[in-house]
Amino acid sequence: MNTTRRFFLRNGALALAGTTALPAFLTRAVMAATMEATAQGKKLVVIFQRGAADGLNIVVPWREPNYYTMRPTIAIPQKQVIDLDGFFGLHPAMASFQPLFAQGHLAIVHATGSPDHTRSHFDAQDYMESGTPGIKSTTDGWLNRALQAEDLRRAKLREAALQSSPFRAIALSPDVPRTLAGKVPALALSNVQDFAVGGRGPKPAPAATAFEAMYDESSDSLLHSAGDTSFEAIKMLRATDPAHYSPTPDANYPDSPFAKNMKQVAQLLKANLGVEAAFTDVTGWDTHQNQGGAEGQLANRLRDFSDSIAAFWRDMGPESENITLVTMSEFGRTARQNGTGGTDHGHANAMFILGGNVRGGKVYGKWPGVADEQLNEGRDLAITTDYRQVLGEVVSKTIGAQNLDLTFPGARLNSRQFLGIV
Amino acid sequence: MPQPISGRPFALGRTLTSLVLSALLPAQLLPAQAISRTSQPEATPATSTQPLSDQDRRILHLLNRFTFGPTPDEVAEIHSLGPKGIDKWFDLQLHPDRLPLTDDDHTLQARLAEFPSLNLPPDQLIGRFPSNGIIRQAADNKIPAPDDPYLYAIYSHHIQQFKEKQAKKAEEKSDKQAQQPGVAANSAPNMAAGSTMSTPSESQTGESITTAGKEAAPRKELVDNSDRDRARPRYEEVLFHSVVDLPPDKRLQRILYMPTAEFEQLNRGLKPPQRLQLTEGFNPEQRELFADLENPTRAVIFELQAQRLYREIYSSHQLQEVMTAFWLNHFNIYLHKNDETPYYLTSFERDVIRPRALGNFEDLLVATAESPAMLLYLDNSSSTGPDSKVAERQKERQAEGIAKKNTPPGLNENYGRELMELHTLGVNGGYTQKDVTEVSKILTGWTVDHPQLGGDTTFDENRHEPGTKIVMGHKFKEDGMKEGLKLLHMLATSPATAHFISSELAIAFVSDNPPQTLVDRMAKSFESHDGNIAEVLKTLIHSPEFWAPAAYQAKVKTPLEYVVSAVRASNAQVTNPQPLINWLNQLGMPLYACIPPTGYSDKANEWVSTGELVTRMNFALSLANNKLNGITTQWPSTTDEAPDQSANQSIESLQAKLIPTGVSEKTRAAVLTEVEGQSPSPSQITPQSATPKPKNYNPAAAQQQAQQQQQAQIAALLLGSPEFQRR
Repeated sequence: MNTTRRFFLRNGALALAGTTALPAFLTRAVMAATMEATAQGKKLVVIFQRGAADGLNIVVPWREPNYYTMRPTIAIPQKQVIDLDGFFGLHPAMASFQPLFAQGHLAIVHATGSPDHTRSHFDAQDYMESGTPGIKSTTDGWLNRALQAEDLRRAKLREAALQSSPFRAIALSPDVPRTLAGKVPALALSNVQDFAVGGRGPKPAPAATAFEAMYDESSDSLLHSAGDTSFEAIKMLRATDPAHYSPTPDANYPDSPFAKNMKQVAQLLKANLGVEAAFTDVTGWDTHQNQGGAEGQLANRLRDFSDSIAAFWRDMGPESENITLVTMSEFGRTARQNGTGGTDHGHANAMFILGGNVRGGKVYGKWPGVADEQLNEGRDLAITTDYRQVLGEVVSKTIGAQNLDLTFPGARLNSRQFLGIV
Repeated sequence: MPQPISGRPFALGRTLTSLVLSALLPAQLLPAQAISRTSQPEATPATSTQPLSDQDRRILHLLNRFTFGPTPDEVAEIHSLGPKGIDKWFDLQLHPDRLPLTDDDHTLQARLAEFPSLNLPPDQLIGRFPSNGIIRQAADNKIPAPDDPYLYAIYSHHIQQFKEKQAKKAEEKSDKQAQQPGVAANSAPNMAAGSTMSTPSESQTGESITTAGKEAAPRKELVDNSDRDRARPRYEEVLFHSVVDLPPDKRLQRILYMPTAEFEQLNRGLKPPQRLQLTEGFNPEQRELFADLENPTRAVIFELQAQRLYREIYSSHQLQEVMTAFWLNHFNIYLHKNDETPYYLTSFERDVIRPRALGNFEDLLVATAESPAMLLYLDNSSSTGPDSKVAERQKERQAEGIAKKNTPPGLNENYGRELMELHTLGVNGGYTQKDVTEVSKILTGWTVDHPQLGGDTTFDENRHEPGTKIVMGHKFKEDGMKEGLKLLHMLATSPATAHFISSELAIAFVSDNPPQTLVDRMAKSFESHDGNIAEVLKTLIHSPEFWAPAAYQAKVKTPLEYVVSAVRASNAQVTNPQPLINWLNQLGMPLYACIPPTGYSDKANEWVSTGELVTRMNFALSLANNKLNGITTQWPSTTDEAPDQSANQSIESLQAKLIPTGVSEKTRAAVLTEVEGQSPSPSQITPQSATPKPKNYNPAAAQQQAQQQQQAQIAALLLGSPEFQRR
């Protein structure tokens, strides 16, 4: 941690905005103007589906006869699949993704995942988030290294270093997730409205003022800088008047924890706080038992998942142009249904990429097939695209992290192998 | 005799210099802030700034590292032990069984007595607080219901809940199948296994559940609170009033025997004060039964987390608790790995870690390797030799076309790898992927007998990989389970292990980047004392690096250290640790819930982050202002000690108690500004306020209340200050 991360507006316009009662519209204008000068404007949103989502019932290979043989009671009937390209189709609960796909904003990569063969949730998530499958000793996360790579590129080009906002990398969670852990400071907050010292409110609580003075003038450099950034962040957030925020009227967020997180991601992105990378996760995908088919447990999960993301997209309005959103899960599930109407831990999965500059309307990746002899270890969808290939392309073409060896050490990624999604 | 910390007391006027320096140097190169007060609590309110004596600083340094935060009692105790107090205290701490019980220990014993089930072995614990797996099996008649009538009622309740959920899912399924005719439901229960275990009580369970299931629907109508009749009291109120005035044993009995739907309605409708009323007067066993009825696994997790915090806060065996936390983190196990982990973790901490926390490393390593908790967490329990009898049989069955699974069982390298990387040699300990595979082969057969039933570790010869294995050049001839013990001996006595463990200890107790000379010296001591942990710690505290100025206040507290030290410094009375458990979740260090096997980081950069400090400040405000349910702080009223105490004096005396190592002038000034600017000083509480006074207005009481609020506010600010983040 160093002192350069202190927000550049510390003694400038924002300090003014934070300490005096500027009207909110003026604050936003001040901030927008200063941000525009520095930010590239591309923003990346990463969603982790924890628990291993069943990719084969999410993006359904409905032309594969063996899909129906292997999943006698949980397969999505051909008639109910939302067809995408005559071979793949979406789960019927994901109707809200259909227009996004048709408009060319939403792309899918199928048969992708982490090359490590672990079937352990925690190992696989850890590998996925660290970006170094099979290597436990990595201490930071891929998204943090991508931001480091961006800084390096700018330094090399002698561009002015991107003035770092405390909101540059955010996670809607109590602590910084593995994906965002590392040198670039990341801010974790579970609730935008509660992010304050001594209670929320239009004005800082008295205790907050005292704490701020202590940390501001502390000679303990480590705590001084983290404390300072915290108060910067609180002030910046307060200036956006988070209590009176409401999403775009036609953004119909479901009532769920995931939707709440997505709504807050949109809120932070729209507030011009300098967000470059945002992370959130969604749980409930570990469907070992009675996962259901067109309706049921997984269907409900998918409805919430796709409706929340679609609402987020509408909520972002014209700004969605600068957004790239990518989803991932630690591994897929077995191609065959198990004895309890569910699926067990598998291998490859499907990823969604949604964005203004995404070449959507297409399912990317080489399809390995699901005939018995085509399955990985005789039981799961095989991986044909390393997930780092997808993320590597996304980070290099959005936030400008072109040093792929830094972001994904050991993966030997090459931009020539990119799928051309973005 | 340890070497003294060379005191470099900064004069007030030199604060500016230290500010400039700190901008250039990492914080840990600087000695602590100099504005220090005497640590003695009984000292008269200090009006002048007295620097700490060297001995004070040494005592505080020692306590900051080897306890969960110094308390005035411990400082006084070491002083009372004379000039060699530090060594004497440390030796006493190394032999906790010889320590006399303190008042806090008695408090601890009383708190732990709240949890009678804490002492049960896993198989009994999981029967007493049935896991989801146990309920599933009981519902399928695969295990008999318990004989105890109360437990029987608890099982019946959870079985019915489970069956209702199943029925609901089946309904959804049949709806779906209506759209897709011709597919047979794959729901015929397999009774074969269960019927062989059938007992009279089991068939009884089955019967009662069937009956309950049939009755469920009409009962639901009975309890339906339709708004047809708003004048009628809500049904949960009726239920509540029907039991609340009963004597505790009758009340519990009535609740336990409530039909499931009724209990659920009652439980859902309870307001927090009603919940307290409902369990009022319950003895510990009764409270456990009530928690069991609500959620058995949650009850087990709560007791596990609560006992840990109680010990860390109250135990006088502080070094043992600090080392227990250290080893629990070194041999990390994730609480939610599977349904059974919480039940095994209770025993893992109690039987494996705590008794060996200051013992011999090899002994500890073997105990963890033999623990079902570790074998399950790192998947060794499911690892099978590729050429073992089990695998061979599977291959034959496959060749004959009998076996369903396409892949024969095989190795799982998870434990083999972490055993070397995290538990012994360290990541650069000189092993290769081939060694990982060989280690995993050696450990095949180390498994757990019926983990769903809380079974113990067992060695399964049939899954053990035959033949000679070679690990890092050492040959391990076929010798069943003994191969593993020989391997563990080799790993425990390897110089790389001595080095790795010493380095981890030095990071925990000296600084984030401990001097190499110190680590080398500790590693040598580790080897020459055959891995005796107490001896390594003695070497540590007799090393000049431990007492060097660079080490003083060099560590930033982890969330656990922060929360527990704040409670200890405040002398808070804890009767319910749940709020602390919740705050640790918010601070990103949930107890027993570190997912990766690495455990939580012991280094500052992991914990000092934007957002984290905000949460710490909010915790300090909640704790000091008594906003945590079940945790009470009592700040001395100024009128008790010195009626005319100024805000300045209040700050000094509270600082001496809470942060005896001292705070910076800046911190003190910030507290003072806040206190003088916000809280009314005693003289400001005058009747001219616009609000009319109540009839029984008592100016003295109001003044005392205002003063206590002021004290609480000072304490909150000190506990949230930069200085309190360090140890």
